[in-house]
Amino acid sequence: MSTAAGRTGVRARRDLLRLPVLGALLRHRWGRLALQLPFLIGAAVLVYDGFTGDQLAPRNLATVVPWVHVRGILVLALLLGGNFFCMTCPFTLPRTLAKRLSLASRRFPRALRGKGIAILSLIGLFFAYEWLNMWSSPLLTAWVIVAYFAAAFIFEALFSESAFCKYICPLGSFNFTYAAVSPTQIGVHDADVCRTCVGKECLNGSYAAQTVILIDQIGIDGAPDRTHTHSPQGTPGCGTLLFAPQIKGNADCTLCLDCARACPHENVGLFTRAPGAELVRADAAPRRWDSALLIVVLTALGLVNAFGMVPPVYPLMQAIASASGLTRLGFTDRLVEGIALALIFGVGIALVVLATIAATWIARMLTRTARRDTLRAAYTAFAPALVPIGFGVWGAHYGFHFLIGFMDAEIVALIQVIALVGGFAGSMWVAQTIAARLYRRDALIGLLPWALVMLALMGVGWWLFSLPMEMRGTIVFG
Amino acid sequence: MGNRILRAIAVFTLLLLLAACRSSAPTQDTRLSFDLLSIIPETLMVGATEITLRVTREGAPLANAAVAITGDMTHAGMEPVSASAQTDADGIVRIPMAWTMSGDWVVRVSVTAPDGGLRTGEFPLIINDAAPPGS
Repeated sequence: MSTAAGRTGVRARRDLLRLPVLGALLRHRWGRLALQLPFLIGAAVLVYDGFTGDQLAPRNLATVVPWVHVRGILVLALLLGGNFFCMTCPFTLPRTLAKRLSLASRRFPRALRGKGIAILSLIGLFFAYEWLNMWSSPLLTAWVIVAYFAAAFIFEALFSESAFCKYICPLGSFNFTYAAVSPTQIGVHDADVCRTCVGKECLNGSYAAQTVILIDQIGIDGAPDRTHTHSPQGTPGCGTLLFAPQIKGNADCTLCLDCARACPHENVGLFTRAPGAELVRADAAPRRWDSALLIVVLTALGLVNAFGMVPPVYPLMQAIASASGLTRLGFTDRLVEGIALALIFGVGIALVVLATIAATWIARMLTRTARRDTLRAAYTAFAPALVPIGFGVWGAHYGFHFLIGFMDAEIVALIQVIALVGGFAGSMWVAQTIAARLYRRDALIGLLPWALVMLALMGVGWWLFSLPMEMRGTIVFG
Repeated sequence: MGNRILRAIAVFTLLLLLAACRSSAPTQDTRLSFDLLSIIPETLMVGATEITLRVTREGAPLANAAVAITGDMTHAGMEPVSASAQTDADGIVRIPMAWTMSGDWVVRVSVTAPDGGLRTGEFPLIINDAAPPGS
């Protein structure tokens, strides 16, 4: 049993779905719904309070819960358990309804099936968060929640796969990326069972409008001796089109567990694993620019987002506004702030992306592997190394907001340092493993450019988190 | 199918009704008013300040009114600061406040007259981390 799981990327220790009580709850047909319903009720309360409650952010659930509590708990959950946010996400609840109402079951356009939209939606969300001071507006936050429900419903109704989760959702993209550090992963007990499986229910689902009996195996006497049934009681297959025995990491896995529920052989499980195990696997990271850039851009966004809340950002925006002549054009302060912020976001992200491309190019030169490895091959191989430090930056930022309300500031600062240095150490460990795999005897010299980039990222993070936080939404340009 | 949707709508409506069980805002005594006289030091920075207010009722100074001040940052999750004091014979009250962080704050003032009349209001403040140049 464990050997097959090992082949699919999980050094099987324990299948959580086979634990008493918890396993039964998670595998139950309504298991996910039971987890989602409290969050749906919570979302309804947030929307209601956001629209009708006290519009002072600290006194309104719509701002306190998503921007303080959920983000902090999300980081902890990813680190200690898995992508439980997507598992309990109420935004996907309209999925079944949308599927039933859908008239056309078409795939998401091929040209858009990548992480390009997700990268843009992440940048858009964090830019809007800073520019429109979403953190101080319960009303705006409530609208964002409503928009989320509407978008999830529309995309589920229009396309056969869970296009919103896989290609668009910025929160899901964050979770998919950082679930790489989680200690759990979907896998199978025995890959041979999947090889001979007729229905591939983990992918295709076990739902049928009318009962259908599938024959898995015909006995010596010609009669079927292994069958299973599809029926209206069945469950859908993987919304993000992952085939359980081929899963090598947590990317694109919403942890909905539909694969486990649909599998007639009870072969799919949620296995414990070494945290971050997929980051050092050669075959886990897709060799795609968009997947690698998602990791790199998220790391940059972590720093840019934190920079948006420390004192130096305000004189910088003032300097950009006056140097570019924006203040003389008669624009509103809001528009000037938006343009200055867009410039800061653009430059910040571009710097990190260019630094990582340069590091890859230099590493190829130093190790004389430029002919053997394309820039894309080397870049996509190294990009996962940024996951731990990116996670550390986000953890330090979100941890601050989560803890500062009830914990001593010095202890919070210590936790931030631990998150940042821990992330850097994790990134170095992953990077040296990748360098050893790619460059063998030249691993040290090949590691050097990436190590310098990661050191610089940690240095910037250290500087940002050593500055006092300054929550300002009011900026007057002049 | 239709019944399921109706049931879902009914449950959602019930939830909204439950969420609507909100206590209404207290009645304001419009005869009461307060003015912000000063904040010392004038350059608002992280640390201690003293806020001075004058409380009047129909234009006349009101003595022995309880004045409570709460400062909230506009970002959720920050610990609020609060203080309270009573007005003197001239309707003046000086309240020490310690700002814990730079950024946008909203200061809410609650005045309770000796006869129980209530007046509330708020004003924004920007607290700096360091003194601005030239101050």
